[in-house]
Amino acid sequence: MSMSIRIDGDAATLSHAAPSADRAVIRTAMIEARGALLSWDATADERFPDAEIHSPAEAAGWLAEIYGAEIAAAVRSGEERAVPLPEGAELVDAARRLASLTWATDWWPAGVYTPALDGAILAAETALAAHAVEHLLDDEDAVERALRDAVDAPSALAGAPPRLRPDAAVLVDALAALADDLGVELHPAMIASAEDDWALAAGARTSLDEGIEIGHGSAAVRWADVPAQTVAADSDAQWSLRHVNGVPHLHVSVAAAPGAAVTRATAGLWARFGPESLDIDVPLHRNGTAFTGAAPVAASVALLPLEERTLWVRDPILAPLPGAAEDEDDRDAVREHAVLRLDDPGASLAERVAGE
Amino acid sequence: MSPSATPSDPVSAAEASAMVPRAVVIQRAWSDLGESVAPLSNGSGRPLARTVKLVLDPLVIRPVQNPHLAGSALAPDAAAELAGSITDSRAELAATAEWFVVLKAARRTLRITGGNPQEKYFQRCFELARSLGRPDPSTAEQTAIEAVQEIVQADGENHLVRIREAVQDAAQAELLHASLVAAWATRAPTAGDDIDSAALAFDALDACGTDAVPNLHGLVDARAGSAAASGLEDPGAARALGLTTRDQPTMPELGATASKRTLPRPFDRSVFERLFAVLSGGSSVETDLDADEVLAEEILRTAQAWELADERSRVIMLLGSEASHALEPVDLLRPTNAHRMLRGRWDREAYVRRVRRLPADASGVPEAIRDDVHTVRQGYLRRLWVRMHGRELRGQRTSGSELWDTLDGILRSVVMDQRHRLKLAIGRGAEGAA
Repeated sequence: MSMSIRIDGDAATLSHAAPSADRAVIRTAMIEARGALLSWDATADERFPDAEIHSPAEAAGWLAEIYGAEIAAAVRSGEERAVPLPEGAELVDAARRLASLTWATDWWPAGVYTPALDGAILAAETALAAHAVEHLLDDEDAVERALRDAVDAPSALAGAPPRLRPDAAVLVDALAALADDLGVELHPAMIASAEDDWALAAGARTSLDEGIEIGHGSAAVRWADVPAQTVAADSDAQWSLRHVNGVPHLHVSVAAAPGAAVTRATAGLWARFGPESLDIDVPLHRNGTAFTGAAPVAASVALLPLEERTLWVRDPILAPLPGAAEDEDDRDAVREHAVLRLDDPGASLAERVAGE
Repeated sequence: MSPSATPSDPVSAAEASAMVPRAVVIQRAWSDLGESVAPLSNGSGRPLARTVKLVLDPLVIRPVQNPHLAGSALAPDAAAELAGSITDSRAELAATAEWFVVLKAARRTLRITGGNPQEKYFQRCFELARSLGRPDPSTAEQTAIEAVQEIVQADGENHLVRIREAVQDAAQAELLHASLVAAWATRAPTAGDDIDSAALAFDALDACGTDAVPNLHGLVDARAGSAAASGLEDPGAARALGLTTRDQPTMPELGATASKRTLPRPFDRSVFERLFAVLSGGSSVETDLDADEVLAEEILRTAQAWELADERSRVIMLLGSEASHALEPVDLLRPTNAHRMLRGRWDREAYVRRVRRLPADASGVPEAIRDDVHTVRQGYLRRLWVRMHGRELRGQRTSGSELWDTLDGILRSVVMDQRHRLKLAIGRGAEGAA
């Protein structure tokens, strides 16, 4: 019999009722544990997670380490009641740490005002955090998986700012020991030249100023519609309709997250303009500090009413259908949280390195 | 033959509340061992999942021999006994941890990079600890180098070299082919005992994911797995389970080459491909058989029910084919606990819901993954067969207490694999938008 745990103030409410998803996905930090899904508000300073327990028998092996003995016992006996939260529980902080790192991997709002996180450093910290709670994770290979994404971490950490070098050295050692235990080969540290292709690409010309503009506008990009750290999370996508040699052309441009070029050569991003029936879908390509695309369109497009001049930027694999706009309060909360993390001594090294 | 686990008796509410989760018992006993077992522990001092799977369960607790220590929750007496077995092994476990450090150093000395050291060395370390105690500084390095070299020798690749020679040698291949033909000539369907195996299967699957231990015993004794295999001869039956592309299972080729990327469905694999699938890629064969014997056994195996040799594996195929109905988008008439939990895992995946809800080209999910979602039951059973076949070759047996872990683990690996492919597709614009 499945159960859910809701944290409310200093008590946990246990219930058999199906949980309601009341928190926006962009601010939810999660762990897939054995027999349960744990979730926190990524932007809040809360210690205990909500839980959806789909197999109490499997979760029984670790519940007490996250919620303390009383809540674990209440789940075991299937009681529907409120139970006071314990002072602390042995592994709740370690679990929270892993959830935060996984959240950052999926949702970090890199943009014009928020620096990007280094993926390899993030993966290295994720591997170690997963190792700490390995016994309660659903994915038996979670540590190896993260380690394989962390093979370039020694190089990334070699470039850490001087103030953070001691922490970087500790992380490199711990990572190397873990990799040694699991037989994963890390790449030796190299001098970084990551910014090269960025600088190179910046010189490319766009055709945004060609012809005569007959209309322009902007639209928010849903974070859930694009991979994390590709499109700048604090910029809207821009479109303009221009007559070039008498033919209307649609131009689309959206700012890239800093560092996006380094991690993803192509992003598989597309922009749809107007109603689906018009069939205007433009592939976007990395072009300097933006993703841009252009295509000739039918003359009637210039006559579209304002409310139909919509722009939808997305990776079609992530977002096959348009979703409801993300709540600006949620997005603000995430961006504010990210900025605070950059110089929080308790934050991950990936976040602190980005903040330097 | 070791006795298999028996199901727990029904317990009263009072007894149930006195039961202790098995994992908790193991962790508590483990934490008493302290720093001495750190190399076998995770970042918060709990035993690694591999430590439990490779060392504690098979070598210390031994639930197959001690069925009362098997369930996922234990009565107080059993909990105390289990904890005692770990505490009593304190010295051996500490020495195992020390040997692991020494073997890892030997691995570096020998510049070995393939494989997972925990997976490959944990059991050997326990054996060394049991026979030699703690590593003796004057001899440990040499012992470790020999042990690591021996493990390399036992590597499936070495068996595979010899097997490849045999099947590629014309004279030997002719003899092997003849024994293959002979094995298939005497192939006959097995009648099961006259028992209600459907009821036994239901009970075993319904015990999954609960504190009770599923009982495989009755099904194995009644040869229910073999009996079920006779249905595979019906035209299209084995194909419907994803085990072949043919109308009926036919005698496999002997085969002489194989490639990981292009392995056919299980029953369509040549004898060589079947062995290649298990032995290549550095997994070790924990068996006393030499390469020729492994080859001879595989030839016999192909002609048996489910093309597997052990009744236990066949029973698990039967249970897997029953439980995997949960992955099809149909109403289940009598769902067991296993059905409900497998369906729960599958339905939790957002991409699965998308593929089912949206027309093909609107789902955003690349075609190859979409197809695999629609035919997940076949993919599941293929993977289950490959797992059982691999376990047979390694001489591993699946006990009742491992049944759910096996059935659930197969679906988890299907999902993880599909998630990974989806992740790779993102950012590549695999299908474009149009």
